[in-house]
Amino acid sequence: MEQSISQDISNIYGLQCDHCALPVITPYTNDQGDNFCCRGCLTVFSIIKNHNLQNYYNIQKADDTPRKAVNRIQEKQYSYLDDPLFLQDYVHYNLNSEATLSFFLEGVHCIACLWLIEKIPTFTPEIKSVRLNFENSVATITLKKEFTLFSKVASALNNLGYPPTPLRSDDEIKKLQQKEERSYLLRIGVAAACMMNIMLYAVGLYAGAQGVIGSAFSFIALVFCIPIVTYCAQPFYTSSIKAIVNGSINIDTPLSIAIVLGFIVSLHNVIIGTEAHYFDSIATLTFLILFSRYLLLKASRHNYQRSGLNSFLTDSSIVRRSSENQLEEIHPSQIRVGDTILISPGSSLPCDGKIIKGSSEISLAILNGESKAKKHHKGMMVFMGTINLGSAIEIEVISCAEETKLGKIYAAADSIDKKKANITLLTDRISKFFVAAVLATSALTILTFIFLGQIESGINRALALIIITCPCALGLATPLTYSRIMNLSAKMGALLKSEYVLEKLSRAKNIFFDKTGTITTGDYRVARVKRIREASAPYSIESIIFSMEANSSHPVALTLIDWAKLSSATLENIPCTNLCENLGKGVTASIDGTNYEIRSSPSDNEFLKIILVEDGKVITEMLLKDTIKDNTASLFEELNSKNYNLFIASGDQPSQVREVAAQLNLNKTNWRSSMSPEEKGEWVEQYPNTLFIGDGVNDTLAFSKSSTSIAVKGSLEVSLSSSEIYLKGSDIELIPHILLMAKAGSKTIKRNLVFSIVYNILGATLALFGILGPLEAAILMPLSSLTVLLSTLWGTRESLFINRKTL
Amino acid sequence: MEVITILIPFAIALGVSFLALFIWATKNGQFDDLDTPSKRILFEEDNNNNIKRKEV
Repeated sequence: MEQSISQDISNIYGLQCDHCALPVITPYTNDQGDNFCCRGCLTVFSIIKNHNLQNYYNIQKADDTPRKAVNRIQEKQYSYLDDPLFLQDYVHYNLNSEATLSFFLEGVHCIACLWLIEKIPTFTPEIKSVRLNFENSVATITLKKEFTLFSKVASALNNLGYPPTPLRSDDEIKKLQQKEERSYLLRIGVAAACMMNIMLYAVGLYAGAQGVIGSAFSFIALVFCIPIVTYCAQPFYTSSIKAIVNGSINIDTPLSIAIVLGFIVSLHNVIIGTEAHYFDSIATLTFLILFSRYLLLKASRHNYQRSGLNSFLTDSSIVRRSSENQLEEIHPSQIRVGDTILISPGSSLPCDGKIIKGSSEISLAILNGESKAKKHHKGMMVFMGTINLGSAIEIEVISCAEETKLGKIYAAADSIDKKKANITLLTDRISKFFVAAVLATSALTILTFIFLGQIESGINRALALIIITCPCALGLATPLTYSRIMNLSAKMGALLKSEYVLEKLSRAKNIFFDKTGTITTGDYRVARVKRIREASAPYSIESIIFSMEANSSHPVALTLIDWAKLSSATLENIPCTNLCENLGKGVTASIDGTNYEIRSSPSDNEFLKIILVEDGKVITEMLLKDTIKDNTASLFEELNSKNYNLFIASGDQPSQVREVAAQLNLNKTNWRSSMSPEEKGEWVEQYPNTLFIGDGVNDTLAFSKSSTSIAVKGSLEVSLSSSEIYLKGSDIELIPHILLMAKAGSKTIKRNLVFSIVYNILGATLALFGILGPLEAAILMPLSSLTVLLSTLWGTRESLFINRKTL
Repeated sequence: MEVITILIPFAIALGVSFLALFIWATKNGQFDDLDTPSKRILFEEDNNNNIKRKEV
């Protein structure tokens, strides 16, 4: 409802943010009359202008990447970045002994961002260079020789709207990933080089090179094939040996057998002087499969992965009161039990603790899904991850990191995740059966021919069989399909953790939704307004509220400002005197000699009640509430029409959930309320093929108990550490598209399976009867690969999904 | 056809040297980031920008 009004208004005004180009609902205007959608954009715009970097907007116009609004910027000092103890683990010195530090940047979304970030040295004299890796949003910053401190750099990045998170210089996982990627590339490069050289001579041989030249060509092809068999194909051997040790077979088993046997047979043939060899086939096969797997590896790694809990901590710096009663800024990893830390309004708690000063409303939504914030007083326990919506408080740290309530939920989910065996992919199951059949047939062939007394012919035919039936179609097309689908979904704004997710998604039948933050917006909106009487000052209520709250950054104030702008087209900015924001108590000011106060008032229902008081008398009551996202109803309708079973699992009060369920036409049996994280997990477990959609942290247990899961909120790392799919921009409307894409992918894979099985049976029969020679096999092998390649590209073509929706 | 005895070793030497170059580049980290440089090339150098402005 609220949203539709806001859309109407933005249609009327037709305003676009001058920074991010999103439609402006509640304009922030600067002196030059430019309009912005939020304060963040305004700040960034003025910084860009002050530094003569307006070219940013030209680059931005040329680039068609969808833009996202910049988060509201909070001023930060990052003084902890100058702490030598901290720097020890994070800063790395290069050969010229210049200090370098890598940051993970939030909010890098287009080429213009890249340009802007790399221009930072032009207005920050300490910096020598900034290199941004666009793919994983990591900026590596090198300082000039005489500088070693990074706090200024970090605030420069923050002010541009890219909140930085420093990365450890000795990150083992990162190094391993890099090493793995490089070795993959090396193998591909070597395989490609050898393959092309072998081809040169193979073509000569097929064209009829004979005699000395013929055997020279064969010998050269043999030499070029050695690195392929010994080096490039190594990953296949490792993986199939691993499978065999575990008492199973996988797709790599027949691949390895084909490569090794093919090489041995060819070697034998070269030595006895016949030109029949498979070197070119082996090389092509190895190269194509390595390449398709590399693409898959790349597709599943375009996100920066770190352990969930730590990344949850790192997005903001913490203010600590030191033993000398001084305030100092520290990195969240430096919090110790017993510290006193300050929690500002609107920020999330970095640890568990006890309030020792002040009292405040704290939203526990992240822990139990309850949408209404609860008042917490001195002496009460507060928990990591919850959000302080009231005033600033001081807490004594009781436990941090893994010891916190949130940390324990994470640990529980993690241990379930580890126990939960990954599903076997369809291709793996089929290839198992297939390999067994091929090996049995070849053994049978050899035995038959031994029985007939023609050992040599038997061995030749059996080997031809193994090589021809080598399931390159499976090994090549399946990873390619997965990587295509994953790249396409990333383009739409959904990041998938691995290829297993796609197969699980295509089987999903029962979809569970969390309520707070998933179906609803997760923050307050003005739901009802009760106007008792007009103000005695000659201004509208909206103008009074707008002017009094205009400078506040409190979440409730922002909601009220949005509301005022929406409900009145003629807002005035009234000069207020004695404007005073009493944190946690509200705002007081006097206008034309009358005293006004905006504060919260206790309410007995689910609403948060805000009142406007004029000279001690309440003149307006506003009820604030978490409201439903405006696209949820159509989403539910669409999924319902596709025969998915929809459920709502919420930790919120029954009355709230009932209302939402009624709006979405949900059966009474399909929603439950007041559920603990454990209960959610148990409920999900009762159904097969489940998909759980939640907002990241309080649903972690349910995530790990369901077949697959989507996180719609929170930062990328937190979500991906607990769920398997991350939606950029929390757009749940994307869910039907992802399901559609998963289905299309699984359809393509099945079709490729049919192709390659039919082809293999034909080839095998011909080989067994001795009709198929090495030349025919060499032509047929790439042909079959080409067929499945084309089939893959056709099955995952963009137009299948594009008429639905692209962002 | 005798020329082939020279051409083949030459072709092989050429191929191997390029492969060696590729291995060196990979180990040097040239292929670690395949995404960003392709975008970076689109930015005009500031100096050029200034010259253009002066000309206008």
